[in-house]
Amino acid sequence: MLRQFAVPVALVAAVGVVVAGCGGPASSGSRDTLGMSLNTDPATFDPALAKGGDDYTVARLLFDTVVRKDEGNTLAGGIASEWKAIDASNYTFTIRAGLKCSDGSAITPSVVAASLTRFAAKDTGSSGRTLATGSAKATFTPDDTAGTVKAALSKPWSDFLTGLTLPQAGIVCPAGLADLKGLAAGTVKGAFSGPYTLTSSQAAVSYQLTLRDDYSAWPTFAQPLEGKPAKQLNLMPITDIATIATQMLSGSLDVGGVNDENVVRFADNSQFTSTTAANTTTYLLFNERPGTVFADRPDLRAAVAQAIDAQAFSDIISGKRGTTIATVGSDKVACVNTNKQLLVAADAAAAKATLTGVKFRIVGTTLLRGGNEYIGEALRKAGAKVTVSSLDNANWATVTAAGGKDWDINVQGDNNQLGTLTSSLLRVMGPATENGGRNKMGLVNDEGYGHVQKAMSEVDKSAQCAALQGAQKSFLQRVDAIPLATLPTTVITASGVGIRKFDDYIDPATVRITD
Amino acid sequence: MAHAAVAEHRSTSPWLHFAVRRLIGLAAIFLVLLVVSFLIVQLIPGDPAAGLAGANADLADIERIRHQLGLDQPLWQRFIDYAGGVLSGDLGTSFMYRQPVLTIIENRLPFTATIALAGIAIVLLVAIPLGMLIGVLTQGGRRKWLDTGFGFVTGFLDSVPGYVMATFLVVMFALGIGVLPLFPPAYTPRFGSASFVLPIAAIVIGPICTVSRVVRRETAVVLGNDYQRTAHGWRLPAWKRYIKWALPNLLTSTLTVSGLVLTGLIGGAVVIESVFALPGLGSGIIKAILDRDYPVIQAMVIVIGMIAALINLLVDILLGLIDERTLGGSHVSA
Repeated sequence: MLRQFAVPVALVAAVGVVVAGCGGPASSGSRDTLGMSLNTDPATFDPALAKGGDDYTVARLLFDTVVRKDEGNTLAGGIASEWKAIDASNYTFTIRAGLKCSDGSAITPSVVAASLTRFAAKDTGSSGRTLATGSAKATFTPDDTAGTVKAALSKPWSDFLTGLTLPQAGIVCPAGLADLKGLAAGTVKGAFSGPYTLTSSQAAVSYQLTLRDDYSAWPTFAQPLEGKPAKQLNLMPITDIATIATQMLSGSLDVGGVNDENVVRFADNSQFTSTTAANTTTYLLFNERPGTVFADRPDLRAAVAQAIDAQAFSDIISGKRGTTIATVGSDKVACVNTNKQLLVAADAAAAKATLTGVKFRIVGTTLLRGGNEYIGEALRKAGAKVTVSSLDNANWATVTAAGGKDWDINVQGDNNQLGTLTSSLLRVMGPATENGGRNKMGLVNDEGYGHVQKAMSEVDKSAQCAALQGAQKSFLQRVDAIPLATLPTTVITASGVGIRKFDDYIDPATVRITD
Repeated sequence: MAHAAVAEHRSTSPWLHFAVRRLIGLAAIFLVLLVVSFLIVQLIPGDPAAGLAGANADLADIERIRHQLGLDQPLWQRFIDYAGGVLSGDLGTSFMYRQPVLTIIENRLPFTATIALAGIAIVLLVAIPLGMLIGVLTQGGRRKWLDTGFGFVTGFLDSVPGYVMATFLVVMFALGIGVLPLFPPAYTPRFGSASFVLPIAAIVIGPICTVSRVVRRETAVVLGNDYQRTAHGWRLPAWKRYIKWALPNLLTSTLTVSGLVLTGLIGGAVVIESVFALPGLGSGIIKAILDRDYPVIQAMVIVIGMIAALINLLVDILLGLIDERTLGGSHVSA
């Protein structure tokens, strides 16, 4: 490590680097190796404990899941070749034969069951547990002879199969489960079930992932991937999006996440391809806990909706890349409401008549700062006395998840990792955050939550959608939340490199060299 | 008696007094950094446990993480644990990376050291000859235009903030976006050590101007001394007059300024590393603050503070080697 830096310290080397810099890349930039950006360092290499976007990226590359997301809200085989929902509480998976962990040991049904049991255990603390199993307890029973794993949930949860596509549900091999500390640090060589192994990890600098020679569990997508996987992936944590864009343009990176107005730097540039997904949605969410301004005041909540222009908000937060929505999920999520007649129509005069002189506090994340300010200004224009606080993510999460009365309107940015409507609906109905749920609004909304529970007990898609439509209609009529817009995620790939998007999910493990 | 005391004082090496005084100073700085670094992180709003728990966590998850991190302990208990760890060589474990903080610092320090040490070497190697050259050429009021031009250009460049200079260099010379694309715009292993060219250039331009202006002024003063005028009158070789006799007399003030400049370079690295995405201590401390990674913030404050103190000590030792009279001077500080 130190040797790398010894030479540049000397003046002679300082002259040398000037010369070296003029020639282009120090290495040839072989097409077997790709450079890929991360927004920050992965906090852990333990897939079950993954909590942020970059954790999910490395988990997806290092660990396979039993099923994978495919186009059109369908599933593709991963470690499981077949899967079946007997009902909303009982499922069977047939494990593909001949699969191996990175230490050469076999991935048997027992290995799969042990890993999923840990993922679904409350004590593990996985952020994906409630998304995959709801409030149910999951039991996994392997049958190594038949090559199957049976899953039984104590309560129905029809999002279960989709939940097992989450990177948090990645299968950890026995060597990893035997050394959880090493698993988190990425140092257990035999822990990986995915296509890559972690061969070098230098926090804050780079992470080197190497393709396994003995890997054969490529997912069976309906439309097969084109090209070949990179033999080596160099992941670089770069916080600033403008820098990622510049690095892409300079040829330093092959795959980069560019989620803001820097996308325009690649417009009309044939050397790059952009892939955009809208798995983050935004909506206003009212605090309706007893004693707050908006509690039992649907008229006041409707007046806020009358004062807001969702299109203006959308243009501000995404540089005109997003679209307005009619529920808490994006249009590609199954069963979403697209009927804008259910939304409160804009009416500046009516809003002013109701809101004049009313005091309330708006909170939001710095990610949506411009949008937060717009909401504040729109409501001030309607006569309300408003304070706006843009907090960083951790602070915002603390304030809005703690319950209490410290805020009145939350500008919610909702990263729908699962790609189902339930995870977002439970932000506006069901058990409150202070009671172990996801609902930030504070009131259960028995009618809406009843619809969600019914939907989760159905395996028939049309029956499930009918119930979810009822849940959406309920919160929209109550004006517990005001749908705003999508916040698109864009991945830029250099010429000769491809990545696949499945509905609103861009899968990092589908990066391929195509030339 | 008085004579005996003076004689005893004179018989004691000034280096011994210097060493004792500076060791006490270093220990005091370390203690202040230890206390201040602990207290300042408590002022950062927000809960590290909530940030680590993620968007889908419930309050029980957050509380469990808070317990795991020891954040549910009273403040005094946490300080005792922290101070005890630091004094025994354990800087703690990063909340974010779940790795020893020492490993994080070992990963990042080479980047900061590279641009700071290469920077100061370039500053000295460019600024001293440049300042002397201008001083010689403008000696005795000759070439007024050169003196004025030098003062204007160096004054202007010195006044440009580091982040503006860094951005300017990217716009001018960065691959992919520059007018004259020569160097990578940010750190990337693919381009090797060429990644350091623009950051070093951004960090040295201001200090080169500062130091060369000091050297130019000192050169004018030194060349005006009687012994220089006598040497000139005897027509002794120019290199002897400038290199052998003038240069050593310039070094005291030059090294003093350079020590301050190097300390400033480390401070400036906070900005420069962010512009060029260099994963050094500077960008690391910003990231640690955003992540509320208390152990990393505390350790980096201590490490950066002690590096600054040691640089000042090193400069004072060099000054002492050049002129022993400076060892007892009250103008130096740890």
